[in-house]
Amino acid sequence: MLPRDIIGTAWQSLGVHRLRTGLSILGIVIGIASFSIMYSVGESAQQKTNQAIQELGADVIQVSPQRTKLSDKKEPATRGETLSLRDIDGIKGFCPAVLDVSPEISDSSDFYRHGKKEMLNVTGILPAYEEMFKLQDARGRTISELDLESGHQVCLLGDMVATRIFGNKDPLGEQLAIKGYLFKVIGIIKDTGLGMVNVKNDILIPLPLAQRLFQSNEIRTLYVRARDTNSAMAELERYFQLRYGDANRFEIRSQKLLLQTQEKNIKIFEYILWTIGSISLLVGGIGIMNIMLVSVTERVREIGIRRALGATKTEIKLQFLCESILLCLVGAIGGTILGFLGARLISYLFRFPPVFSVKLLLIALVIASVLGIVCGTYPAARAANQDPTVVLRYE
Amino acid sequence: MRLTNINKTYATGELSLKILQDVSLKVLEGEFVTIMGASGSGKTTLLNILGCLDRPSSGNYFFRGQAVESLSDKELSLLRKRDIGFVFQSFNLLPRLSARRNVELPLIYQEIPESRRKEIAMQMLDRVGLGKKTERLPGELSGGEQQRVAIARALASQPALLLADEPTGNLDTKTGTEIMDILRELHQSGITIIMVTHSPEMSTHADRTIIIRDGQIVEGSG
Repeated sequence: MLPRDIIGTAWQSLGVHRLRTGLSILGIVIGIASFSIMYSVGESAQQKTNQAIQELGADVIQVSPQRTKLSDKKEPATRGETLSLRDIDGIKGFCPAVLDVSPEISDSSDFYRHGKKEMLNVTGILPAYEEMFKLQDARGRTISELDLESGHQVCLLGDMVATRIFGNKDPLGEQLAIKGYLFKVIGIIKDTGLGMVNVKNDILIPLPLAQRLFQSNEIRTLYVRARDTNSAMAELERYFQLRYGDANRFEIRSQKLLLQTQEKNIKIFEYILWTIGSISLLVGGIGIMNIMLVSVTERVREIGIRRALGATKTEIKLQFLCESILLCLVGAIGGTILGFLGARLISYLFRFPPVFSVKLLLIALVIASVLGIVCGTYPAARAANQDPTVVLRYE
Repeated sequence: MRLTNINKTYATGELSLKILQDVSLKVLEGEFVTIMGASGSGKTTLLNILGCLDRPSSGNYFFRGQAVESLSDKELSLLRKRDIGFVFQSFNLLPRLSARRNVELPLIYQEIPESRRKEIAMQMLDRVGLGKKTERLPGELSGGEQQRVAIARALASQPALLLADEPTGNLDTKTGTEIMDILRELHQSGITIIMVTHSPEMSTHADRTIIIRDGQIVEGSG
């Protein structure tokens, strides 16, 4: 029998009971869909994390005073317990694993646009910040040491803020009033997607100006670039222990660890899908085997006729095996489509870029073929071993 | 075709049922032989053995000089598809396939390409007078027409031997006679026909009648 005819015959037989065929492959569809979603989400998360870590270069650690809980109200925070600019040199001197320290002061400021008041975030930074978060490739230029020294009133705008304030007008070179002082827009920056800072909605100005504008020396956050995450975190903890007597007053978070935690959460989601997928495939496989056995029993007569007309046992076996594989393949294709839609939905909900590849489809098809062979072998063997004379005696 | 001392025993539980006992038989090429006997006498089993669908429990069967009992399943299938055509009492057409596709079935197993298959099938259907109903499903055809399709199917591989198991059993007398006419025509064109029947009327068409009773040939072993 020509391979074409084997497939054609199998395909024809599947078309006979469409509803039954459709129901019997549901398990496969769900199983493969779970695997597709798992693969897509997992791969996407992995890519995102890898990309973030790569873009980051050295790890960034965020240090911020922990918010005092309400119950701690009795002990009012003393001035020494917030971070100050002195800590920058302190940390640099004390911690060899630290490459750079960048402080941040931020507050909100009112802006008027079309007569409507809007609150926007203004952050005071040093050039180290720009380097740390890879803001160098901004349109225009970034805040330089010279700006700091000469007290230039300049600012960088996140791309979202820029369109919010200036609309379609090119903001570069325009003046922006912050707390009554005019600042010249020198650059537009984009989010690098590194998670820790969100610059697209931010207005960045030189740190000394921010201190004067907000009349505060209190540093909300310190960003520390580390040569090695673990030793830098240990050194920072020791520094705060010695300097403030209690390291627990400060929250020390590594961006790498943050990303890894995020990755772990996704892993859990993956395990759940993996379990659903495996169970569905197992149940689906049993379903396929069951339907194939029913089909063999129903078609003893057909088997007998084919045998009488010259089909060998092998040809009968191949025909049924082919049906089982085709069933699974149809299920796999359906599952991939469902998985594709599911992954699109998830990536839409969780703002992931969806990942799809031909590899995924091929894996699904291979899994399905193997499942088809495994579940079809026994029914096919039963079909092949039907005694044609017994079969034809059913008059 | 020569059978010597064929025995066929079916074991059902502790009882073993002797269907055929020491059957010896010779059929020459080009003969038209009918096998007659009461139901349960073993005539269908004998036909299955002749058609290489079943193997004897003991004894020898030579088909055109070839010892059948020594052949593998594959070789038996080859013999069936090349040299033997079957016609059954209940037609045994595949209900989902059109008349033409039913006739093409044995050709599929001979790996004949589709266009040639179609051509042969049309020819065969034309020969049994169904040239205009090739795309009908079996359910859309009358009993006599279905049996014609079955005959066309049996002829598609141009077999030397045509085995017919009560081909007129499910048909009324008129269509039965028509089918018999076709079989007689085929016989005249040189095909060996062995037909099982229990109607003495039908056996009058044959060159020779073998009568089988309780698994033994009582008349006409040749």
